[in-house]
Amino acid sequence: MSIAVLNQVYDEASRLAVAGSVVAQGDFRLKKLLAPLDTAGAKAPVFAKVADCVRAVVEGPENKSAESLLELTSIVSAVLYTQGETGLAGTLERIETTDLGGAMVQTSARLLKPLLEALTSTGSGRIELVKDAFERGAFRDLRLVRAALAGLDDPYSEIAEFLMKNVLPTYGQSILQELRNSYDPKGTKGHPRRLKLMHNADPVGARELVVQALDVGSKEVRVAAISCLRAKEDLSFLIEQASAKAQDVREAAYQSLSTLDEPEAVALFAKAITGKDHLHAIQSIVQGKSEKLATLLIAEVRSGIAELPTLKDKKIISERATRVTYLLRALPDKDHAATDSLVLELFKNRAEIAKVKGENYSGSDVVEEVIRSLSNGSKSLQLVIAHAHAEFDADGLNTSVGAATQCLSPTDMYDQFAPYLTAKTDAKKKGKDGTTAKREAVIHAICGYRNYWYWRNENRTEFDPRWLDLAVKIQSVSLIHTVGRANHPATEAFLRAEFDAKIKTAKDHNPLQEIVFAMVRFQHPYATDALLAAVGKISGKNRYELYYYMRLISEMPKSAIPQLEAFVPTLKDGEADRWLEAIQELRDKK
Amino acid sequence: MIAIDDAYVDSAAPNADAAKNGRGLVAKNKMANLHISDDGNLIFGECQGSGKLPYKISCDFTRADQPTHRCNCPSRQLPCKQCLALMYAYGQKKPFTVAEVPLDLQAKREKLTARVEKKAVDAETPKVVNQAALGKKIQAQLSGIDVLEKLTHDLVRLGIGNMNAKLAADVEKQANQLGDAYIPGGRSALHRYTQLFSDEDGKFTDQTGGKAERIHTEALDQLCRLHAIIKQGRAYLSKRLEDPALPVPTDTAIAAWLGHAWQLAELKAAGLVEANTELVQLAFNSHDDRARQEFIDTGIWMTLGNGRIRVTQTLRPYKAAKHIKSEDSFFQVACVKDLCVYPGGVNPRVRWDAMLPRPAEPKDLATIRGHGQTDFAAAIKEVKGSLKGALADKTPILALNFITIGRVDGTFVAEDAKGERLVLTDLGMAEEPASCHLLPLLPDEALSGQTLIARFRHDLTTRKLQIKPLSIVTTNAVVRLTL
Repeated sequence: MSIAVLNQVYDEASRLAVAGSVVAQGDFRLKKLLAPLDTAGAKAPVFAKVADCVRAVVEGPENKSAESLLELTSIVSAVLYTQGETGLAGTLERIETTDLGGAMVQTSARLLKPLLEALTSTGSGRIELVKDAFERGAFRDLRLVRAALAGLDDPYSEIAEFLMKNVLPTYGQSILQELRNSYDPKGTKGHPRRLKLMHNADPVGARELVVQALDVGSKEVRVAAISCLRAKEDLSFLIEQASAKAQDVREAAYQSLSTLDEPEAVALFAKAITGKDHLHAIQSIVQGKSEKLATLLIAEVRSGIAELPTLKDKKIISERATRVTYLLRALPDKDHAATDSLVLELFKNRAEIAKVKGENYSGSDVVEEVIRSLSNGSKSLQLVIAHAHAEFDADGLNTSVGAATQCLSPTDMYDQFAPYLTAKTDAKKKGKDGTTAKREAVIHAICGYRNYWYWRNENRTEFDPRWLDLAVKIQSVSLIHTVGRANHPATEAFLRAEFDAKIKTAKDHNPLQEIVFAMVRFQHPYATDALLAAVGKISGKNRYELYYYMRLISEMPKSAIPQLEAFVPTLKDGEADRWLEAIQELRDKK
Repeated sequence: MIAIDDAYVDSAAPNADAAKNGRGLVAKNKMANLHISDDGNLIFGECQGSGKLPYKISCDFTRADQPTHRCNCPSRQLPCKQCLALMYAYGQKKPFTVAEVPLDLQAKREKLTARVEKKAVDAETPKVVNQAALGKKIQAQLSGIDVLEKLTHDLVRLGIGNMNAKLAADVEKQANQLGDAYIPGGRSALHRYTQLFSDEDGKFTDQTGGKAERIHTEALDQLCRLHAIIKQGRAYLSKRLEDPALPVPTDTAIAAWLGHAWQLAELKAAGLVEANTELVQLAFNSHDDRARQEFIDTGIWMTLGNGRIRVTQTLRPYKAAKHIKSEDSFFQVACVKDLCVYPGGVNPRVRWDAMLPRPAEPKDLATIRGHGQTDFAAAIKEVKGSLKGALADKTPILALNFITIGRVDGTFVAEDAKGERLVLTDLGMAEEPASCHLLPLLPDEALSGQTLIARFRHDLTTRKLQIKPLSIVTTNAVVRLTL
């Protein structure tokens, strides 16, 4: 069968259909095909039929042109549909598959569709859906991979950043090709994220793209590319970029330079940290790799500290003290002998340093930073500050306790700091002896800055069991929250008594709430009743505390569900719906 | 009484919100007077709403595969949240006491039984058709065909390349007359033509280059389809005008193209029923069909008995969308007593009014794999044979047993045991998301010696017949690649 001529007829018919059948009459290109059609028609009737249709188009009346053209196209396309080309010659190679890691899931359309819409549309409430889906493992469905990739361009940057930092890295190198296909070096928004992802997944493979981005990339992509440069060969370029006009370009260059242990990079920092741009340069330093840079910073801290007492102008003192503080923050955090030696030296001289007074930043602020460095430093440094507790006022004591919880054994820590809680206040001094403040500081340091509603059972610090007896003795619910445990009769009795006393009188709900939270968390036998009684006090009154109580439900045992459900009818409709959602969360908990 | 648990009620719910609200009613203690009939087939009770009197609700499982839900609330959802709550309460083992069925409910049950019996009798009795009215309707349809012809020919005379926003709006406006002339299928076909030129938001857009060429090819194909509807529709209607007693033909889909809505009874009467079938869903998609002004939930199923691939379609017109149950992916096996099969080509539409689910087992997957076509050449021949029909489904779906899915110069290709190849593509199937990019994310074993559920498509621009992968059936799972 001479398909070539039919293809030609189809192409000509298409051309006429696009132009309009009014111009079809007498069309010479179509007419030219009549001869081969007639020839083929002698052998196969279908060609003869096509030839008739062509004649009707080119020779028929204009008012029939549309019908004739459609008739011709219909018959030709019907034949062509049977002649579709299949197959593909060449060597069949196996597909390089990439393990996405872990088991994959198949999510139902009713769940998948809203998630896909959240990732491909705009509007509020999407980030919660995405985070929830991530936590539930829904992104382990293959079909979400592309949507997650497209989400890198989401106009709501929080979603795009969440996908970049949490979701997409879980797919490993399997998404590299997709990232590359959709990457535009001249683009903004998602494209810097794509470059960073590609570089993180395959630094060597992405090198070419990073170099290209530096040449032709948009400003955002260039900044991302600069932050990806970590090789010695990039040194001169980075040095050049460190003097760029744009601050974000300079910062990215400083950041990369600080990871290179090269004399040229250190020389640049030596200049930068004393120049106009010193704060940006110091803040951009990524701690860790460069020994030479660490040596420079240590020397700069020393000279900065030495200079402070010699200065007279309070404004200049303020500026220099700030600079020294930033330099201290840029020092290697741990396992760096020279840094440890420096901060110990500064700690010894803290009295002298604290004497320097600036306009709005003084030597005492530098000392605070030194103490912070000690408490965040290696164990030997932490021990220094933990054992120096007697020398501190309430503020210093707070840091000392913080360090002690990390470096001392629970027993030693208790022995050292428990006396602060039992120390008797000198009534005559009316609290001015600092006993009360120090007691509060110790409790505060142990409990941390977090409120009890942020409490989490994971990664809790181990405390000496005597703390709980002490907490009950001094009647501190806050301390019980931190050092408490289940099945402690004294605690249970105390909490019950406290609850019974507070439920009757409490106008301020916070103390009551704190007790209920402790009861729930330490599996008090009366916890569910206490929660329901507390909620009963505020339900229907539009009180914000209800929100926190409802959040607490997910921490309760599943055995509480029937009692919680039975309480629903006493709640107002909106409250009841939220309460039910909380119960559902508890029910779904593994 | 069938076993009711939360999962059963969840799947009976028309949407996720209804299920959530149903659970809420139970938890809020809104249910009262919960009873079960002596025979255990009926549960009934009351549900307190916002009004003074509670709603009276019942769920009747006399027909286990087709339960009847009754409630006097004003909701158009079926089952409504109150009925769902009643089932949840039962599933959660709330106390249901045995009680006599109330008289009004008893009367309704009897009416239903009578109705079912009557339906069965009616199905046997030939339907009396008002010939005069039918004649008038056919006459109106023929006039509609004339309108459709005029509009189509005007478009061809003017030329596809001269389409513009104003013309598209005019055509759509005039096409609406076709609905009044009882040929909504013609109206949809015209809308589908004009919408080829518009973007996702329905705005008319000027296209250039390759994209314009593709649109023009699609447009011409759609015009040919309109031409076929006109030709075949006129012939069919003229024949029926002469003899209105003629049955709706089952060997062609022209009646459906003109907008004929097949009733299950009609399908049964025409013998288009398969008894005691089991179906497994192989793919599912839900899309917005702007030409039809409907959301369409499409399930792609294989009947385990004969290996044929069929589709279910739940049409949810925009105006009534929230009152119609949206379908969901189905991971079990549907056991259907009477499977009604619409007239059609390779993948006819199917429907059932009663179904019982059962868990899918490895042997079901083995059956599906056993039905896959091992010879691609035969499958291609079958597809090409079906594509030549002007009104045929242009994207038929088949199950193909492949030896390997690999790459030839970067293009994905499936190969059978004889070395016959089919090229995989994402192009031109807008209602389903792309799926080829997922192949490198599959485990190695999923790409050799498995069964591919593939949608064929002939591209008129490139004249190539290629396939889009929808799912891969392995020995232990149906891996869905689309939604």
